[in-house]
Amino acid sequence: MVEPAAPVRRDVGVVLAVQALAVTLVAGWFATGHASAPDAGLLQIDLLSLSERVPGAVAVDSRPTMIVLTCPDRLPAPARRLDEAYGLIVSTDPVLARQLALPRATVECQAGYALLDGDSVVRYRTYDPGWPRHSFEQEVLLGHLDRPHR
Amino acid sequence: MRRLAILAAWAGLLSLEVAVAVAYQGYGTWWHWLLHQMVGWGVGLAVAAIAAALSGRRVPAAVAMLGGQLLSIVPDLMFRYGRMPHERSMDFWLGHISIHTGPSPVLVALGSLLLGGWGYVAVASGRSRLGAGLAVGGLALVTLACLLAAGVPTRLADYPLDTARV
Repeated sequence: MVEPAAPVRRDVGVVLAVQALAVTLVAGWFATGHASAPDAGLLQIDLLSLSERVPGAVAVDSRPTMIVLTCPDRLPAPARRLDEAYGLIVSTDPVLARQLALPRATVECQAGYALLDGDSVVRYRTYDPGWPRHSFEQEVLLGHLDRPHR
Repeated sequence: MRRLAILAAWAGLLSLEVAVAVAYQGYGTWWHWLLHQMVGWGVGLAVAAIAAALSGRRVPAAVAMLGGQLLSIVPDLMFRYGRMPHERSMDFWLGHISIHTGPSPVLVALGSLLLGGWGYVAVASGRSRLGAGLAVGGLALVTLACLLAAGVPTRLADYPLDTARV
């Protein structure tokens, strides 16, 4: 099948331009010190894969709860943006951070959080230094912790 | 008039792409944007290249990339607009889960785009066999990476403790 030359040239140009853009973005990603798989590929993966209790991690008033781990000099100015339906705890306890598999949160100020269901079962954890701005994401996940699992 | 319509369509498409990128950035998930867009574009171009090599019918590059991109981000659209957390079964959407925990995700995603794109260009230039081979290579790269991926941990003890670098 013979194709008109101009559309073919245009398509080739589009593909090469997109590839050049992608190479530039990837180079920028690595040049700014990021890993190919941040947090072993589990950064903000939004998958509720956990189901275990951790000493010291207790849901607020038996409500789905977010426990933020951070270091003392990174405590957020606005104490709360999360919907009032959910509990929110901010901790700088390095022992709790380690138990929640977030040791860098308190030691290196790379904040993260864990989500608990109303029975204080840990269902999710992630690093997220920008967590105060990501309440939509947190509320979607917490909204699914209202329901019994398994 | 037709030229104006084409320009408007390209402007609309580019605006849409910028809006998608800005949305991912707003959620702090730029890394996810990088992965899923590149995989989507690469797979779309690879499939278009193979289809063109087999049938002789060319799919416009923008259509191929947009189709692949949409398939690749279905779980994110479900999260944003259906308030649905991710699930392991969402690997159906071009390895949406496993691509994260496979080997070198960013390089695999870039590799799929390069191979798929080169395959598309080769077929468009009349080198169908070479193009199809490159395109199959791009698809195989994504498939292999997903097959080699570590599972998402089900216990806190399974999380590596010293690999954050977020």
